[in-house]
Formats: sequence, C-alpha cells, structure tokens
Amino acid sequence: MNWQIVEKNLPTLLNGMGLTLFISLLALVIATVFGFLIALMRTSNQPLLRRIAATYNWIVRGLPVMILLFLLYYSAPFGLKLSAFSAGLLGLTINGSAFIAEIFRSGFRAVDQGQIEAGKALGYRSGQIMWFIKLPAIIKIISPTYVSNAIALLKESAQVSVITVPDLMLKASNLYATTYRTWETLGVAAVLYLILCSLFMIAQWLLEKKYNTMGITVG
Amino acid sequence: MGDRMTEKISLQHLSKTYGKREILKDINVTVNDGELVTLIGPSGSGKSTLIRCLNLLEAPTAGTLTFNRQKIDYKLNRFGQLTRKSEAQAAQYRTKVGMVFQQFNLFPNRSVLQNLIDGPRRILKVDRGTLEQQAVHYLTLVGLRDYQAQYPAQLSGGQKQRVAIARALMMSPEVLLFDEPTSALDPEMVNDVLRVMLRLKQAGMTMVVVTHEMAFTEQASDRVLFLEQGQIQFAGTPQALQQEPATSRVKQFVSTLDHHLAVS
Ligand SMILES: Nc1ncnc2c1ncn2[C@@H]1O[C@H](COP(=O)(O)OP(=O)(O)OP(=O)(O)O)[C@@H](O)[C@H]1O
Ligand SMILES: [Mg+2]
Repeated sequence: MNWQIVEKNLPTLLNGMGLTLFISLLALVIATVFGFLIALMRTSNQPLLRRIAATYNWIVRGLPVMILLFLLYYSAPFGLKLSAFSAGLLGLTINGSAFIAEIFRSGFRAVDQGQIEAGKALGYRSGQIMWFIKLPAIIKIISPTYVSNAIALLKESAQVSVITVPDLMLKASNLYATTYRTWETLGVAAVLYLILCSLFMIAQWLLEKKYNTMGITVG
Repeated sequence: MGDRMTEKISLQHLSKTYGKREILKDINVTVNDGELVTLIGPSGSGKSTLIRCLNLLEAPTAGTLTFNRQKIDYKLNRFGQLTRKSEAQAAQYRTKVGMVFQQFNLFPNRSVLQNLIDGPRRILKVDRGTLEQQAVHYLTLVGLRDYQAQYPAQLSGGQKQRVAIARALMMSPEVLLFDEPTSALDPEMVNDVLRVMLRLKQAGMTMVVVTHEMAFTEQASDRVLFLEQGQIQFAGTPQALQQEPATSRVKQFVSTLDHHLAVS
C-alpha cells in the first residue's frame, strides 16, 4: 500500500463520493414519492390503475439497471437527449421506484384493519386515515426493508459510471487505469462506499432505537 | 306512545348482500333518544353487519338511513362500497355516532391521552386545553383517571375497552354502537366494562349493543332484537322476551347461552 498515492488521489475520490451520495439520495427521494404513488395505484380498487402499476413493477424489476441506463442514455427516449447525469438519475429512480412500491404495498397490507376502522368510526376522512393512521404504522413496518433497499440503491448507483457519470466508481476506475494500483484506488473506493452505506445503517439504527423506546407501545 | 319518543337513528328496508349471499334481509330498526337496544343472535346471523350499517362502516346494499329524522344519503360504486363523496359525508356523520369494537382498536403508538384527544382535535378542531380537561373527566368516568400517560400495550383488556369507550365519548356522540364489547375480555373484567355502559345508559346515552351477556341485556335494555339468518325474528322488551314460549327460536337461543354459562 502506497499511502502517497492514496493521499494524492483522495480528493478526486471524495469528489466522486459526493456525486455518488448526491445522485443516490436524489434518486431515493424521488423514487420514494413515485413508489408511494405506484403502491397507491397497485392497491386501488380501479382495475386499470392496478394493472398499469403491476405491469410497471413487473417490467422494471425484471430489467437490469445497466440495460436501463444504456437505453436511457444512448437511445434518447422520446427524442430527448439526456445528459449522463440525468440519464443516471432517471435510471436509478425508475429502478428504485418499482422496488419501493412493492415495499409500500407490503406495508399497506400489514396495517391493522382495526385501527383504520377505529379512525373511520371517529370520523377521520380518507386523507386523514392515510396521514395519521396508515403512514405511521407503515413506516414502522417497512423501515428495515426500506433501509436495506436504500443501501442497495446506493451500491447499485456505481453502475451509472458505465454511462460516464463521474461518480465514485468512475473516478476510482479511471485512477486505476492510470496507476494500476488496485488497493490505492479501488480499495479506497470500497472503503468510501462502506462509509456511505454505514450512514444509512446508522439512520436505521437511530430509527429503530426511536421505536424501541416506544417499544412497549407497539402492540 | 310513538310520538312522545324522539327518533334518533333508523334504518328501513335494509338489505345487505355479499356477492349473491343475502346477509341481511329487509331489516327495519328504529332507535329512540336515550334508548338502549341490544342485538342478540347466533354467530354469523349478521349482528356485526347490521350494527356497522348504522354508521356506514358497512355499505348497505339497499335501505334508508335516517339520523334525527334526516336522511343520510349514500351512494355505492360498482364494487359495492361507498363512493368517494359518500365516504366523505359518512365521515361527517360518524362524528356523531361513536363505535366501540370487540378488539378495542386503540392506536398502539399513541398514549391513552393521545388516543382520547387526537380525534376531536383533528376532526372537530377543539383546542387542546379543553380536550385535556374533557379527557380527565371521561377517564374518571371509566375509572382510569391515572392512566393518561400509559400506552395501550401496558393496559389489560378491560382497561383498553374502557379507554376505547372514553375515546368514543370524547367526540360527544349522540349515539354509541357497541359490537360485542366484552367478548374478548377475561370474565373478571367484563363487569367493569358493563358497569360503565350502564352508567352511560343512566346518563341518557342512546346505545345499540351487540352482546351475549344476557344478564346485562335483561337488566339494561329497553328493547331486545333477536337476529337470525339475516332477519329480525323477535323484537320486544326484555319482559316480553321472558314471556315468549320456551319453543320459540329466541328462547331456544337464549337457553343455549344459559347452558354455556352453566358449563363454564
Ligand atoms: N366482507 C364479507 N364478505 C363476505 N361475507 C361476509 C363478509 N362479512 C361478513 N360476511 C358474512 O356475513 C355473515 C354475517 O356476518 P356477521 O359478522 O355480521 O355475523 P355476526 O352475527 O356478527 O357473527 P359473530 O357473532 O360471529 O360476530 C356471515 O356469514 C359472514 O360470513
Ligand atoms: Mg360479529
């Protein structure tokens, strides 16, 4: 291990790490919103909406992220020439939304009907039932799966490097190509990925701790 | 005597079908102000379905619902559920008709106090200070004054059910519906809950109660309805029920409950 090489290249890698975190978090936030909406469609009583959502989830979940990224970047969908970053963000978002939709759907199914009925009987309107009763229950149910999925999204974001998004992966592989020093470039990148993923795990730990202090409250 | 009484809630020509199965057939129920009506009948006879039609938690397939002699309109979509608009109107209506469930259905992540004040704060927009006072009042009434900070998981079944009653009362309802409120309770807790219900009756609350507790039924109800296979087979005072011939369906049903008691 040559620490001088590490020191010299660290700023470049940190720069890529920033972009990895940025694109992943942005994709996660947008995918969560869309995933929630898709899950609503998937559980709607309108057959057409259900079918559209199911088809979307089926196709997207079966499509390798890398193919999706290539298609978005090189095929200029709907005549739209996307920048590498936009294509990468879109690809990660589309992929993430289908998985997050399934997570929300499992959450919806697990919410205690009794609580929903208690809310209705008190006079809660459907929006209030969603906000005050279903969502708090769902967050508790899905948070472990959701965080695992967020970590997977962050790791998979490395694939945007194939369409030249200058993320941590691309920076690391470029450095490797110029130095041929495996550990000093790819090895350090691996550690940086681990640090990023650990941030998510810490968030999960804090969340669980919060629920455990209310642990007695969870029936 | 009919016109001296004030009609509170009424369902006329109610029918309810699930697919092709007719669960309730042309039911007529009227509950007057301050009355306690008990609903008895074998399992699967449609008691829950009927009482849930009274607050539109279940959508009647047909029938006219009135509250204080005002028609509560509702429309069904092609899935047999209330339409979006009807559901919103039903929510409004339900603020005046409280319900207590067999499984209590408290909000597990909310303290006893929060369970009580969330509803009126969010829906009726009553201010917190008023609600906290009101909560103490109702918790005292159900004998749980010192339990405000507890969470549902820390309470016994009987305590949970009394919190559930207090929660329903916080909306200042004009009618309370109870669907087997004591069926999930250990025997020694049943009376705590029934006592609270008796107190509400004495205070003039209008109540509809599905129950298997015959002692309570005889002592507390103004009228008893016996439901069997989706039809009301008997309706009358507890005294009238006593005088039914032993061969009548309702008497036979009641005797199976007594038998049950004798064994246990
Ligand atoms: N959502 C539903 N779909 C189809 N059938 C249903 C549904 N809900 C209830 N039923 C049927 O309707 C009938 C009446 O049910 P209900 O729950 O009203 O009976 P009940 O008198 O309350 O019985 P119990 O004493 O067991 O609570 C039952 O045969 C039940 O199987
Ligand atoms: Mg029932």
